[in-house]
Amino acid sequence: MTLLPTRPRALTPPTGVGLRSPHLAEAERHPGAAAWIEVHAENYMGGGAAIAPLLSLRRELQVSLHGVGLSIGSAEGVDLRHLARLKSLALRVEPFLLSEHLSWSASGGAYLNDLLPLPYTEEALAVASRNLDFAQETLGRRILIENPSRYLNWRHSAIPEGEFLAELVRRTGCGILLDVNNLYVTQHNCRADPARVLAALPADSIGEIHLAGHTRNPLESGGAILIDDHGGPVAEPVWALFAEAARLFPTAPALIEWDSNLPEFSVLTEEARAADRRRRAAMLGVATDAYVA
Amino acid sequence: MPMLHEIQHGVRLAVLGTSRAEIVAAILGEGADAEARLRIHRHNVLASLTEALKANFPVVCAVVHERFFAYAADAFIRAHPPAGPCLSEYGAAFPEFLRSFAPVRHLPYLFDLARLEWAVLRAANAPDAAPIAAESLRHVAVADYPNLALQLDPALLLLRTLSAVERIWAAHQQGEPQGPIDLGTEGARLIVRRRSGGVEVEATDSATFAFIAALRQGRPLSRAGAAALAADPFFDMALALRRLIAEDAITGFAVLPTRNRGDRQP
Repeated sequence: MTLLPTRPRALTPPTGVGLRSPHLAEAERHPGAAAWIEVHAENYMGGGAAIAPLLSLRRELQVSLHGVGLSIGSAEGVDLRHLARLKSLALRVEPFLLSEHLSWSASGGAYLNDLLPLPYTEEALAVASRNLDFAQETLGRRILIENPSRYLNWRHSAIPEGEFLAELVRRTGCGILLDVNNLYVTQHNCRADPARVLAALPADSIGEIHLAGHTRNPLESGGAILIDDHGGPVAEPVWALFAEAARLFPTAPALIEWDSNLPEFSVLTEEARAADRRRRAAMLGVATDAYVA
Repeated sequence: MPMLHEIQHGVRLAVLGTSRAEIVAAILGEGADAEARLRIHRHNVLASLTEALKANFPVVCAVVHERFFAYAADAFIRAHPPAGPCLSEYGAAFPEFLRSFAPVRHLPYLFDLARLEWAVLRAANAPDAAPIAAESLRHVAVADYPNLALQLDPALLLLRTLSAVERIWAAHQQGEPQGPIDLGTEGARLIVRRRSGGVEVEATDSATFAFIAALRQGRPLSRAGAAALAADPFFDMALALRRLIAEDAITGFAVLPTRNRGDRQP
């Protein structure tokens, strides 16, 4: 009789799914299908009936609020009205995580509805820190800041992305939402080194990990650019980065994001279970290495 | 080295307009490559805002067809970008824009149709308000009824149009309409109201419209009734009031002081 090797307890946090409105009814019918859910905050800020299904799901599941509109990189400051609405939504939903992006969207009173890239300069760091300080103080809680997908580099950027984020954590006490798909997309589009970003980030600041799909668009000048469209399954090299991130940040819960070409809800929950399996395998790798050492 | 606000202003112009030279120079890479990279953001902004307008004005989009709608949306977005990130609130100026948009000047009903869709959207996004129970009005003394002001459900909106666009709207709620739609010559007085099953649009008569419009402006019953009677001498105010209550459209009330009441000293 052979003894089975003792498996280390895989106490990895379960992977959640990003919930979009076409899946709300399905998620309500099967509240056990997702471990937890994340929604875009802006979709629930109007009055009316939109929020009712979310509040009903909230009784069964932990909810994370993911904002896309705060524009913490805006030189002109954050929109106070928007911040007030985010606060009242957070008071109603009581999310276990609340996150935003390292980017900007508003200029001259126009909201451009894209996560636009910041130059990584001392000035931008001061602006983002000031805006983030103000937002966290107003909300009375920590915000997780997501590393963006980038399509261009500004000539005068002087600070590597990982160091920029680490300094933002140091100055404001914010957390980091590490999007490993964005890490990969930015590596390809802007020659940023994911290993360097991972090494720069303080481990205890990582509050969440995002996983998503991207597409490949050819450039006229030759080569291709990766577009972070959240429109398909997670790509293999992104899974590899996830394994690395899971080893470095074992307590941060992961999330599957899927926004365009939305499939059945069960495809999302299956992708989340695949993330759980990969995560356990990655953790097992660490345990084995540690045992051998 | 450009300041952050200069970069942001430059990107804004490049995305919404045509002046790109300065901002392209700030992007790392060869000219064509830098242009192509900037175009990704330009596309993200214009395509996502076009989708938002399509979601907010689905019937206008169906009537003018998707390709033309995208063309009109592109011009609208450049002239009137959203002021904030809640895109279910984007497009207040779209009806007015369509009215003066040369390629659709021969379709005057589009303006009213877009106004109707905007009212539908506002009703959908209006805050919840609990209706009063019919019994609570029993505590109002009969003598105070002329001075009674009623608060209406914020999800009830009124709209006066020059043609019967509610027929187009209704026909498009069940897929593509079959055959031509008679837009009439009288125009319409519409009540747009969010109910549990969604937003409903209903045409009403001129007296009822005048009555509800006066209540909406905070006028007391006596003056709302007078406005309705001016439109129709046979207007039945008690019936109209009972219907508003039965439809949960009254969310509060107050007895207004009469003009000379303040003069009397106790």
